[in-house]
Amino acid sequence: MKTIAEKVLALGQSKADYFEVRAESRKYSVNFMKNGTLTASTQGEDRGLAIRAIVGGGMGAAYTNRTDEASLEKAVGAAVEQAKKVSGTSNVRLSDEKTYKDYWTVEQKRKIEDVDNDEKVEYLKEIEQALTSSKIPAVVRMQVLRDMLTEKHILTSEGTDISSLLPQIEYFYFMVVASEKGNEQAYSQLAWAGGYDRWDDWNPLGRVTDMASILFRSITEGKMLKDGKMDLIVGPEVSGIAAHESCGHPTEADRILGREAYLAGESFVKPDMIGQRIGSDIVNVVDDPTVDNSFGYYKYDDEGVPARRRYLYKNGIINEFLQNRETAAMTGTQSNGAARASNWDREPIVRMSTTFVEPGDYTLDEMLEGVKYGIYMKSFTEWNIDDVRYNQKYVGREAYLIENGEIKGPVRRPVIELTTPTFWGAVDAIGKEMDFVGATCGKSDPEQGVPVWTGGPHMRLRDVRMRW
Amino acid sequence: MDAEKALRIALELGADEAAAKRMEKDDVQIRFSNNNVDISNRWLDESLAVFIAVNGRTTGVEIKNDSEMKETIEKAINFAKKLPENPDFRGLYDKKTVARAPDTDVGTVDISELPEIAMDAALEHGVKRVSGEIYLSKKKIALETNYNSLEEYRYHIISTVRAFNEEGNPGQASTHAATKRELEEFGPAYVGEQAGRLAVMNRNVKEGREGKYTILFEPLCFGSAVTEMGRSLSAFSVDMGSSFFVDKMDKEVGSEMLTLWDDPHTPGAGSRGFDDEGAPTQKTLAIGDGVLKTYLHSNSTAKKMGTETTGNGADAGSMAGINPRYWQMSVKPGKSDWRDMLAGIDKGLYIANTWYTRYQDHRAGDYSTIPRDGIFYVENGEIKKAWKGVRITENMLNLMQNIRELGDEVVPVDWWGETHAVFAPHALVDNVRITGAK
Repeated sequence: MKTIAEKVLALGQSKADYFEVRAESRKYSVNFMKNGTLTASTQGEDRGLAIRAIVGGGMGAAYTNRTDEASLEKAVGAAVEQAKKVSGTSNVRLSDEKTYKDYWTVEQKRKIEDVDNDEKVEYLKEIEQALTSSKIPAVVRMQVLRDMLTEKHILTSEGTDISSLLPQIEYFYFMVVASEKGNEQAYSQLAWAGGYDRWDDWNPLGRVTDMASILFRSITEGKMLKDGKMDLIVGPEVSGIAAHESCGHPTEADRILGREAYLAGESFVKPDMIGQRIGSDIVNVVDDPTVDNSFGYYKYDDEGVPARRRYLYKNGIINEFLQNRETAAMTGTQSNGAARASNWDREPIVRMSTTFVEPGDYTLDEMLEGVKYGIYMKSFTEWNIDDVRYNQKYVGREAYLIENGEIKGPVRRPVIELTTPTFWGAVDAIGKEMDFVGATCGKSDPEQGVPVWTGGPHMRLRDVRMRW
Repeated sequence: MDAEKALRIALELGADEAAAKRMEKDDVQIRFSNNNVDISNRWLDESLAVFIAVNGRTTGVEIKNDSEMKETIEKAINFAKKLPENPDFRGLYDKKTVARAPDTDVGTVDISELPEIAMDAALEHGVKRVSGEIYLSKKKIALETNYNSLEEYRYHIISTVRAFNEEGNPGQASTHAATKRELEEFGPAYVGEQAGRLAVMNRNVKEGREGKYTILFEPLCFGSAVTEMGRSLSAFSVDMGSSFFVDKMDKEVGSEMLTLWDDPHTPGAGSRGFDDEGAPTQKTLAIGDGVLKTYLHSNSTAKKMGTETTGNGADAGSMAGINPRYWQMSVKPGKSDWRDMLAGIDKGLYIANTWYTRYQDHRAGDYSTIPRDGIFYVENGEIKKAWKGVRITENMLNLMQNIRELGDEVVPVDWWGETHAVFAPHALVDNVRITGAK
C-alpha cells in the first residue's frame, strides 16, 4: 500500500495547494452468533485510498479501492476537480504544523493473525453454553467477535510520512432477560488495541454471565422508589458516558464552529467560552489517544499530527477544544491531533479517543460513607443527549439503594435527566480506581463509527433529581 | 471484476450455493455550513463479495481484484468447511426472477449548483446561517446466483438543510428523490424552504413542560418512528427475540389509521428490483389498518417461519449473511391537511424532527428520543411558543396505537439513518409523554 500511496502523491502534489493521500488495508475476521447459532462468519481484507486536495480554498476528496494506473489517475483528478469546483464558495485552510516521518504499532503477545477461527468460535460457544446452562431466562443472546489489523500510510505534499500497524479486537454482546415481571436488556463492548493475549484479562465469560444474573435480579427484586432529590454515586460506565457525551462531544471544534450542524448538531459551548465554569473544581475531563492498549489508541492522527492528552474541562472550567487542522486554522490555534477517519473511504474529522474523568482520591467505600440516602448507579442502558449536548438522560441498569453508607437491594431503572452544568456541578468526590469498556462513536455523513474507550472512575454527585 | 466469474469459480471449487454481488459506485457529496461549502467528496470504487454455502455452512468474502479471485474464494470455501453448521440458512432464493428495475433518472444530474439553491431558499426566509448537504448516490449492482443473473442501476439524491435564525435556533428538512420530478418537488428548494420556515418560527424559545400531549409530527419526525417500525419488522429481529413485534402476528399493533408497506418499487433512496439473494422485491403490506400482516423476510427466515420470502434479503456485510431488512417504508396517507390537524389541537405540540432514539427495552418497545429543529407549543389550534429541553419518553406500540390522524400528503424523508428512505405524512398522535431535564 505504501508504494501505491507514493505513486498517488507523485501524481497529485503539483496539482493542488495541499495534497494528501491515506492508504489503508484492514484485514479482519467477524463471527456473529445469534441465540447459539453462528449465523455469520467471515474473514477478509478491505483496502483503499483517500485522496484530499485543497485548491484555492476549496477542499475536494476522492476515495477509491481501484489501484490500477488509470483508476489512480482518475481519482487524483477527481479530488483536484472537486476542490476546484467548490473553490468559489469555500475558504478552507489548514493550520501550519510540523511534519513527521515515523512508524508506530501496538505490540501483540498473541497475534491476531496466529489465532485460528475455530478458537474464536469456541470463545463464543463457551459463553453461550454458560448462559443457556444457567436458570436465568436470557431469551436474546447476541454475540459478535471481531478483530482487525489495520495497516495505514499517510503522505502529504508538506512532507508528512507516517505508517502504522494497529491490531484491535472487540467482543460485543446484547442480551435480554425476560420474565413475567418484564424484560431487562444489556449490551457491552469489550475492546482493546492489541492481541488475543488480553482476552482472559477482560474476562468476557464472567462479565456476561454476571450481567445475566444482575438483570434477572433487577427484574425480580428491583424496587422503583419515589421520585426526589438525593445523592448519587455513578460507576465508571456512567461517568464515562457522561464524559464522552457532555464533555467530549461539546468540545469538538467542528461542532462548535457549525461544520456538523445538519447532522449531530452544534454545541452549547461557543468559541469564546474557554475559561467558563461548567462543573465543580475537582472535575478534570481529558481525552487521550495515547492510553496504552485503548480501543481508540493512536500515536499520530489521520493528518499526521502527534497525539497527546487534551484537558477539555480542567478544574471544572472549559479549557481546550478538540481540533484538527481545519478547525485549528479557523480558530487561530494549533491542531491537537484529533483528526480521525473511520476507514479509507472517509474524510478525517474531529473525533474523540478515550474521554474520561481523571481519578481522584476516594475509594468507593469512602464515597458511600458520606451518603445517608441515595442511589448507586453502576451502569446504564438507555441514554441520549440533545444536539447541543446540554440535556441528557441515563437510565440505570445495575443500580442499588444506598442507606446510611451501605449498599442495599437493587433498584430498577432509576432515571437521571439533567443538564450538563447540573451534572458536572454536582460532583463532590471522585474515585481513585478506573475501568474502561469499548464503544463505537458515531458522527458525520456518511457515518463514521470510530473505536473509543469510555469509562473512568466512580463519582459522587450531591442532591440530584432521581425519577422512575 | 466479474460477478459471473466469481460465482462460477465458487461453484467449481465446491460451493453448493453462492451469490456474487458486484457494486460499482460513483457517488458525489457536497457538504456546506455557515453558508459556505466545506468539502466535495467523490467515491469511485467497486466491490465484489461472494456469499458461499457449503455442506450447510455459510460464509462471505470480499474479492479485491481478478488476480486474487480464485485463491480468495478457495480460502473462503475451506474456511466455511471448518465452521459449525448454520441451521438458520435454508437455501438461497431458487426461482427465476424477473426484476422490476428502479424507475430513476437522477443519475445524470449535476449537483454542483444544488447547494446554492438549497441555501438561497432558506436564506429567503431571513435565516442567518445554513448548513446541509446534497448527496448523489449512483450505484450499479450486478448479482449472480445459482439461479439468477441480475443487474440494475440505483440512483438517488439526498437533500438536507438545517437553517439557523438570528437567535441561533434551527429548523431542518431532509428528503430523498430518485426522479427529476421528485427532485423538483422535494429537492434542494423544498428542504431549504421548509428549514427556513421552521427556523424563523423557532424564536424566543422557552423551557418545555413535562406532561402528556397531543403531538403533530412533521413527516421527517414521524419518519423516524416509521424507520424504527421498519427495523423491528425484520424477521431476523423477530427470530432473535429483540423486536417489539414478537408474538404480534395478526394482532392489532397500531390504530386503524396506520397502514404501512415496504415499498421498494416507488422511486426513492430504497428502491430496487431484486434483493441480495436474487429474489424479486415487492410492495409488502406489513401493517394494514393497524393489524400486523407480515414480517419482512429473506428466503431463509421465510422457510424457518413457514411462509414465502418478501424479497427483503439484505447483505449483512461482505455477503457473510443475508438477513431481512426493510428497503423503503411507506405510510398510507390520511385525508387531512396538516394545517387543519394543527388547528384541531386544543393543547399540544408540533414537532419538526427528532434524534438519538434509544431503547430501554427493545423487546417491549420502551424508548426515548430527543425532539429538535422546532418544538412548538400549540393552544386552541395556534402556535403559542417555541420550546426546548424536552424528550419523548414513550413506548413504540403505544405511539402506534395513539395515532389519531394522518396527513393527506406523503413526503419522501431521509436523514442520516434516523429516518431512512421513508414516505411519511404528518401524523397527529395523542397522549405522548414528554419529559425534560432539570
